[in-house]
Amino acid sequence: MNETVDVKELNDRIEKESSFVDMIKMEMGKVIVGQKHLVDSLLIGLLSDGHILLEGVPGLAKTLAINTLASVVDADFSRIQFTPDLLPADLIGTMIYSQKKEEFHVKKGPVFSNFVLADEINRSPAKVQSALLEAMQERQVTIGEQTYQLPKPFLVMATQNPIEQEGTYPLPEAQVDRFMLKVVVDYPKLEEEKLIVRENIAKEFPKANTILKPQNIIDARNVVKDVYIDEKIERYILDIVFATRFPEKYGLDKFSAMINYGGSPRASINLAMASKAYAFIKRRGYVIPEDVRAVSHDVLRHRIGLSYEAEAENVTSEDIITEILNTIEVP
Amino acid sequence: MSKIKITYKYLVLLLLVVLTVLQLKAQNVTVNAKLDTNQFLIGDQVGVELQVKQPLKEFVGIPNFEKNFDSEIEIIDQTTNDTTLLESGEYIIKKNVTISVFDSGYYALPPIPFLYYSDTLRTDTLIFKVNALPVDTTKAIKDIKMPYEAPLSFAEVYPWAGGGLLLALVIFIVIYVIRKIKRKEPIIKRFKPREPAHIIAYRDLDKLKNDKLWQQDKIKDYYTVLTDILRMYLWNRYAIRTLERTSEEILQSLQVSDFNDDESFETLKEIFHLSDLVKFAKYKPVADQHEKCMMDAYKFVDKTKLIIEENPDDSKTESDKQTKTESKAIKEENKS
Repeated sequence: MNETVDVKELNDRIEKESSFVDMIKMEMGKVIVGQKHLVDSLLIGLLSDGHILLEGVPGLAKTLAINTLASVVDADFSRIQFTPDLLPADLIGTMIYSQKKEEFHVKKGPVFSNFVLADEINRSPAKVQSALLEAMQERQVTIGEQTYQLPKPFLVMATQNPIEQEGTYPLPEAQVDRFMLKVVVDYPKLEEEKLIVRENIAKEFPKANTILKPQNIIDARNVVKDVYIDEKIERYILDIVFATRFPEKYGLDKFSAMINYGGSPRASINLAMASKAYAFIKRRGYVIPEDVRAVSHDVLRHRIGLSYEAEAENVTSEDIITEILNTIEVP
Repeated sequence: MSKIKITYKYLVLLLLVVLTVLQLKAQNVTVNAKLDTNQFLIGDQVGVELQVKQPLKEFVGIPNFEKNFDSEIEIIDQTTNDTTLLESGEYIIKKNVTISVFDSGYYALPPIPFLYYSDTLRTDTLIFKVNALPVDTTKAIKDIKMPYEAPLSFAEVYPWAGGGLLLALVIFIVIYVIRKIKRKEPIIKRFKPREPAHIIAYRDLDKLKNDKLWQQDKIKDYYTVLTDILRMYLWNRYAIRTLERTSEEILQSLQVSDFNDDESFETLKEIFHLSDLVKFAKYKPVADQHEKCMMDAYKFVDKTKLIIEENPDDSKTESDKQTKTESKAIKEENKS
């Protein structure tokens, strides 16, 4: 019976600790109309210490969303527009010589913020992308001889434009894998867009209130780690990821020639983490298959390498993930 | 003396009449043989047309060749008789014989005999020349050319392919029969009608009950099997793909289907919710909840099973009897 009490306690604790989630959603809802999936994804990334790659045409409130989140959490926010002439030093900072003091001093770059928006990350060459991705992975930056820790929480939201590919530097697969989620942002619905227009032409644009301190997020992350994930769910997660690698073993022979490579072990880890965070957002102390299914597309879509056969057949990674989820038996 | 003279005169006259009639008959029947050509190359096949022209009521025997004309003129083929009725009331009977010769020189096709009553009519002798191939002696001697290979036709392959397929079929049947005999299985499977969803569900629930899983502290297994039985039942009953769907998705699917029993829906929702807690949240319900869950599962199947209306006169099937027994058992257990 102890275990029963544990789960009850955990549920109560999560019920208490996750109350801010609804408040964040409410505050963000004042500014962002619709885009509930984007807001949920931001929260998943924030709570599970992951980074997000956003893909969507310009004008879908990507910048506004992360800006609003920063203001709700009372955290630093910086936006970096990636351009072909951007240098790593512009991002992480550099040593500047002070003639007055006759010494070098460190000028920290915009990456030293809690929330970083890397706008159009594929417009900069590989060395700049690498500098950011290294900072994302290590959560520290070395300038000169000194290593500096990045602030906590540290969330990078990078954007990519799916329609203009000329003159871009596509992110290599190994680097894309470092993003926990790849979220595809779509246009708002008609009714939502009507509200957006109204808000934007009004005298005053709504503002979100600050309701959290960065420390609250760090505390919440520890609670998310406590969310119970059963062995059956772990097995379900592994089945999904393994199906992206060996589809023929799961009766999906038709995808064998279409997949060059499947999800890495990082995919399994991130799927489990994101599922926990999703359960937390839903104010539950344990993960259920619905949580795994809810985050599967975002976690896996950038981790499946498609072959030219798939492109010829017009099969996308979305289609493959959907088919996998519809084939693997739910525990 | 004068009497003898008169008799002699009559006899001579009679003989003359008879001979004249016979001569007239033979003159009305003509036989003829004609070659397609009078000269041809060694090995060429040439036709000989035999023709009989005769009045309607006469009979001429046309020869049927079983041997060659002689040792050098070979008969390759011969047709059957072709009869044509002329406007004059006569018949023309034709027969074609194909001959070939394999040496050069002059040859004579001997007269061909046609039987005409006791007489024999013969065609004229036909002379023809067989030429050798012209050889250019100024040129070098070449090897003999190999015979041309005709492409394989479907008619040639068909008997072999058919035979092969037949042989393969026989081998397959023999192997199949041997395997079935070894495995002690019936050689021809009888069609077994699919069991109704509720019969399967009742049987599986009975088995789960008898396995006494929760009594052995295998609570998670108990709820896993219980939900699997219900998912299978819903799949068989409502054709909803339940095994690849979560509890919430199954409930949503039921809502959009023709399922309209709110009470049963709530029962199923409760079972799924409790099972999810046990399966994924380490929740351990009390013993009464295990029993209640099982009873609810029976109740759900009982209330949602597909009932096929039957003619009261028709004899009851075994499965229906079983269903009734199950329903009775549930009612009795509910009462107790």
